[in-house]
Amino acid sequence: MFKINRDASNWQANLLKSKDGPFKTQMDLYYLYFMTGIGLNLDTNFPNMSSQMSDLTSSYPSAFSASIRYKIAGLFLYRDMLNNNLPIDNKEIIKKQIESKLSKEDGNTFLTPEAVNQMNIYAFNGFEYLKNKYTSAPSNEYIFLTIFYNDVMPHLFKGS
Amino acid sequence: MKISISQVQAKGLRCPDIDIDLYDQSSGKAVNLIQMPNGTGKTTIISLIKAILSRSVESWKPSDIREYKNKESTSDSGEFKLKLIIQKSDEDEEINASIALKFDFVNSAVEQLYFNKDGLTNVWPFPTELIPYFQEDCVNLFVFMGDKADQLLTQDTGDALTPVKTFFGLTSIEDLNNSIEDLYKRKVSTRGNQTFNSSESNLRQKLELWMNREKSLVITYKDIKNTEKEKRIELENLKEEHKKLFEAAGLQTQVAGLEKDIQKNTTDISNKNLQIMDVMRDPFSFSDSIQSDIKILKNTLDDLDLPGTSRSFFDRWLPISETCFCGEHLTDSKKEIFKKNIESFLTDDDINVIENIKNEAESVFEISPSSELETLFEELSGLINKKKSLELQKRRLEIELTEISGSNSEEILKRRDDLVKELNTLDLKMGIIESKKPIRTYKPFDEPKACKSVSDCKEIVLHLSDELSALSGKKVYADSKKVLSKIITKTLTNSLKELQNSLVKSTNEKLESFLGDREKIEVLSINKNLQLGQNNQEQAQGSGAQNAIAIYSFATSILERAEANFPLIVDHPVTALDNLSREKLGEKITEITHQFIGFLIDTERQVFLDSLERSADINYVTIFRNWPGNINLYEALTDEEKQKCSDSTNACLSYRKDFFHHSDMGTADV
Repeated sequence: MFKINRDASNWQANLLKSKDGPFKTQMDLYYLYFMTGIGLNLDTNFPNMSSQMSDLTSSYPSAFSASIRYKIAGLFLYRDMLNNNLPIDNKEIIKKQIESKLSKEDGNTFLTPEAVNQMNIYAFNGFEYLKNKYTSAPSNEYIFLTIFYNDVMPHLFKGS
Repeated sequence: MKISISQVQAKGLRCPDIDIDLYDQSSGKAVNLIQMPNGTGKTTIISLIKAILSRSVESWKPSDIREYKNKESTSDSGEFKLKLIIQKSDEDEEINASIALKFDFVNSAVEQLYFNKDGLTNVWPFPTELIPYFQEDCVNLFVFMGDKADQLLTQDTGDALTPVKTFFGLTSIEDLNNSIEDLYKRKVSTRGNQTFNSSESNLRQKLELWMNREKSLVITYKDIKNTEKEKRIELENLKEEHKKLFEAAGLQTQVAGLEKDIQKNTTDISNKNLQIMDVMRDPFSFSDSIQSDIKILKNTLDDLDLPGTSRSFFDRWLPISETCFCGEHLTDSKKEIFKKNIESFLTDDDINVIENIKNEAESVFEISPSSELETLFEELSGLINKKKSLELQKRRLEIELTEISGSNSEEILKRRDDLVKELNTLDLKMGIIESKKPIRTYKPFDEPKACKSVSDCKEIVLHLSDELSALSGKKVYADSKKVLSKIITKTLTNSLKELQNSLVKSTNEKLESFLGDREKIEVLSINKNLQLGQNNQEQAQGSGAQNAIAIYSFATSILERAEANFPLIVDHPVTALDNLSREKLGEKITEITHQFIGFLIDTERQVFLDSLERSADINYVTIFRNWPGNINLYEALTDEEKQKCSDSTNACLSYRKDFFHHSDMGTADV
């Protein structure tokens, strides 16, 4: 189950108001929070974190094609290993990581529940980072996207 | 059944005292064009027609009633009357009857009265089948005011399903479902004289709290909706008022051009945002370093050559085999070696996912989504700069207007900005009340106040009712309710689907016959909005004429299917259309409806009239106030018209075509 930071609901309300807007579902924003979190290696998990999350959805909505879902799974597998300083050329370790993170059983996320939980932690922290970065809740989509692109994205996925 | 308006009468109200004769197809004049200078009371007449046809006066507040008083008049009463002709079928005789609104401004009261051929009557003078159509949601379909027409095409504001549901009685079925749920909740929660054990008692108490919460949220929601509706009307009126000030200052053309550019820029930004998010959903688009990461991952996976595809074979083969592939006997120790090796293989499932990830990673070697994103953001930045520049130009015009027209304009602008902010806040509040979460989020259901959503609250009440019915031996109610709800929901879904499909078909048949192949456009679906497009490809909107004809075709398709052919009543029918669209609409309007009543200003005559006159016989009506500022118009009247004009207290009326064509009404009649 994808879970989102409870504070996100109010903060992102303006971004989800318009039916013609770029964010079709909350998952679009969750995804950006996740990319921020994993891209900055924000993997701190603190007690009661899960009580500060609310359920979002158990699967990606249709805007996330199978191709995108595989890419997210691959990126997560690789980046999470880097974030945890695991060697990426060790056959045994990679095998273990694949077994613990990837799952064909969940034909939607291609991830194990454990991996989705880890994604939730990244997304939770990613949201907190963005909330602090933006002086106030974004008032519309283009402002959000522009700040995200100019001020957030250049700092993500540095140092592999 | 055909419903036509044959006469509109007004006296002692904010609009002029008038008595307008209107015609329909049976008289050969299906098109009625009513030309009035801005500020004469066009909007008042249309909103009173709406009020009568929707029987909405019962919900009017005293301030709404006082709004209609003629401020110039000393009279404390007023009347607005619509004469209607109903024809059930070609064989049936016409029914002539009237509905009037009688205003008492002393007591701020209004009464709706009915008249049949013998005079005042206490009973509904029309066929009873018409009763369900005399309500706001139905009337909104055939009385078009402001930008209501365009709203039907816009996803954000569209409301195309409401008339479909209302005209065909689906709203009543929805109400039935709600009534069944209410009855069920009442039955289950009723205490009676029974005694309960503690768990049942707790549950009952909990249910009561949630039911109260639901009631309070529903009331809050209705309040917010009403406030929102009032504020939207106020905003529309302000915009209209502001527009008139621009017209009076001679700045209207510049503002209209600028607003068109702003509208286009907003659509462009919105489309660019969509394109950007489409690309951003691909995680590889985020940065070049991700692309390097993915290349490394793919190469690593290739190099590691993790075995996997045959693991399932060995898993099955090993336990049942006695002989190895080499022909030797498989001892237990050999089996153990095999087993250990097999465990280092990935499962088929994991391999499958890995293979797919590797395939996706291949794409990084071919294209660079991050450079695509860079281009898109450059384009977005250009559009945002343009937006700023357009807003600045508009602000300059507003300042110019303030200099010309004084503080009034500034006050309007300030109030407009405040209203926009207030509406945004209301939208947010409504969004929260309309939101939906899984009900387990609220478990163990101890804090009803934590729930801000009506639908979540309803679901929890039903959930608790089910629990209570099971606990208190009232499961039969739960089962019956479930069966009934299932039947009703299925009926609703199927009926709506059938109606949507059939209305898409009939609307498209009309569109094809009206527009032909040259300007072909289709309605792809009817949901919240009318989705236009071609060959299954959605498009946001068509040309002005395509939009107007699509909306009229949709409206008349519903009216025909419901066998309730009301007239189409349109405020400013062509004001937003270019000349080509005006011409096209003018040619087709008589084919669309049996009675068209268009309220227009003189600037709308251009091109529209020429093409209309080629295809229809028109009832021309020109109305203006009888006061010194309109002396030129008065002088152009015939003696007979002048006589009638002096009989009226404040208005002149002419049915002459040449008068209609040549009257200059460009200046606001205020």
